Amino acid sequence: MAGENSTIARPYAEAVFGRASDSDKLDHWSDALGLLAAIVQDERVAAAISNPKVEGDQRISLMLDICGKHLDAEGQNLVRLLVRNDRLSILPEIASIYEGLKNESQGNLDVQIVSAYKMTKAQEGSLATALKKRLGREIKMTSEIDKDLIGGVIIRAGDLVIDGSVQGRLRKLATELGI
Amino acid sequence: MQLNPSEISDLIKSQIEKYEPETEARTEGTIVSLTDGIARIHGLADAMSYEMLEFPGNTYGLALNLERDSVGAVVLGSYTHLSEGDSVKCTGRVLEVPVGEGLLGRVVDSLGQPLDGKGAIEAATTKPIEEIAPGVIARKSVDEPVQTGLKAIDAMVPVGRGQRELIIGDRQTGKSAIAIDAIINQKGTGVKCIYVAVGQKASTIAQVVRKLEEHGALDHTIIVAASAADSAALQFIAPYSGATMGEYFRDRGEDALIIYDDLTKQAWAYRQVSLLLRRPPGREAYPGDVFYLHSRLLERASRISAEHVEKITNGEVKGKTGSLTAFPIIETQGGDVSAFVPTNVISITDGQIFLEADLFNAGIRPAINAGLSVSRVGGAAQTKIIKKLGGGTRLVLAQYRELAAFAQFASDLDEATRKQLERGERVTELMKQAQYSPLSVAEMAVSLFAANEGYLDDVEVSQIVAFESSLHSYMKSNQQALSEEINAKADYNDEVVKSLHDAIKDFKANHTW
Repeated sequence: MAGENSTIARPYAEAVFGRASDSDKLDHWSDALGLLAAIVQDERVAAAISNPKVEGDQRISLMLDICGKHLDAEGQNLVRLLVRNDRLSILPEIASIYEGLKNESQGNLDVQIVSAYKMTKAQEGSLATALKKRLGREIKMTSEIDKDLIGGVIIRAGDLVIDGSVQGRLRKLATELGI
Repeated sequence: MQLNPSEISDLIKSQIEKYEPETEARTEGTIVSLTDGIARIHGLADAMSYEMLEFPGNTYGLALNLERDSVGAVVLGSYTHLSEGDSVKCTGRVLEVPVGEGLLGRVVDSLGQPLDGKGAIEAATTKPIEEIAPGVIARKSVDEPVQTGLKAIDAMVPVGRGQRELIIGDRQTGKSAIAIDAIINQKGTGVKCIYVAVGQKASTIAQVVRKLEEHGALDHTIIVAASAADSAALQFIAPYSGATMGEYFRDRGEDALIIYDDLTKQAWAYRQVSLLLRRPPGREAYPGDVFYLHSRLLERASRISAEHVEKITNGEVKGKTGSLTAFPIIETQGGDVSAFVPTNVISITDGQIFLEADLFNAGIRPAINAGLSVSRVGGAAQTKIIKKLGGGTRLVLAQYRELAAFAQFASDLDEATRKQLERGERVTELMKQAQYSPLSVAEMAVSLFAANEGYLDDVEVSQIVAFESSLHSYMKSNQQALSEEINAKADYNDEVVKSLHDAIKDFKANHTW
């Protein structure tokens, strides 16, 4: 369950974040965790690290070999620690919690915008200013297009969802009418 | 009448014009797991305790467990159309039910939705199901009676308006029957009744509804039904919904009576929900807060002062106190009152009516055990005449029980003991009362008076029931004025005593039974 995994991943992510902000290497660690998360999500690697026949040392060398020179000494230490605790599989959660902590400390927020049609630069700009004012943070926008919305946009910022789509309105109308 | 097609489309048109849904900004989460009606939801960081959550497909849930990364929620109703990965929204509201006069005469579920096919409910407003009970200042002491119409209860364990009186006993001892009789007897008194059926067979609930209808008692009654087939969540919230509907009347300066039938099953439902939410089990596998489950519910039954009523109604209702009387019902297993839930509820309530299977089987119905049944506050509320006449009944019955056990071994008894035994036998017989036949204050008074003054001593024990019913019909036809006076004033004075003596003497001399 996702809930349980994030409970386990949180202390690791907080520790990495603490270390990263102490040594002022926030972006560096962000890249490293992203890389590690991508590696363990690869099917072949996932099979290897969950295979009980592959022993701890082999796993460490496997991971370090794949990363090669992209990982510094502290990054390698994290891999060793995770292998020893048998927690390699939660690396993606660690990475996502780390990103959350990093964004929070920098006052940033990832915002996902889903729209029915591609938005113009001017629309994106005005949306960004409006959101910045509403949420009181710097925002990083990623946009996506979903024709099913018919019209309007859905804005997702963490748990908060602002639904201004025609699809959402229709659904609300349906609930109101009891159909 | 033919419907004009343009009329309908005009209506729809105006509704379409008016209908303007706001762009909603709500917190959203995802279902991570769904087992036995319990959904674990990831996200929903802003969810509040007991908040209503919106699931897809017009389904609602209740957020019960708030954890760091997830929310444990119980789905209200069917959950088969939900699946892992569905999104769940916060509504920012706690669970509310409709309240008001429009609910009277209706059968509704725990959420206040009609079950009787009589159309939509015209509710005055909606109110949250969990309300904090009135505080110390808002309350007033209990000093008006609730007449149940049962001699044994009104004479020995009187109940006042705003009291919580527990009805406890094994299965099949007539617990619900007492409650139904009490509802029937409220006809014409202005007391609104709410019958909350928890975890009962739907057929039993249908039977109760039919009986109430037959006796013309449905018009002042709301039935909240969460049958055994409904989800545990609905069974667990049903009493709170009922209490909210009752509080509406209490807060408007009226009197209401609520019956929770029964709280044992509600505790079972809550235990199920708690265990599925992985809350740690305690004694008998109940969760740690099962006492609070019942105490906060029963605390809402109260009598509130006229000033408080005036304050909550913004001066609309003046000089009227409000009350909500509760009759919680608890089913024991093999007469064991020291099990967890029975002891809890006994300690919360203001007294109990204890029903025994042995008495029931011996034909003493209602099967009230006079020794163990008590009312801690009702005495202050009892009508004057019944208080005076019924005061000795308890004592006579208690002494009779003791003597009867002892007399089994004795061959010959002295005169005093024999007299006491005979009196006890007759009073026991007199306390019997058929179902669905509540008595008025005057009828009760004349029966008790006859027993107290020794008018029953020369009546065969087997004839007592016949004697009583003939006496009541005599009072109805020949002593109408006296009956009416007692019913209206309920005073006990020399004049009334003399009239009663004359009436019974006349009956015994000139009538048969």
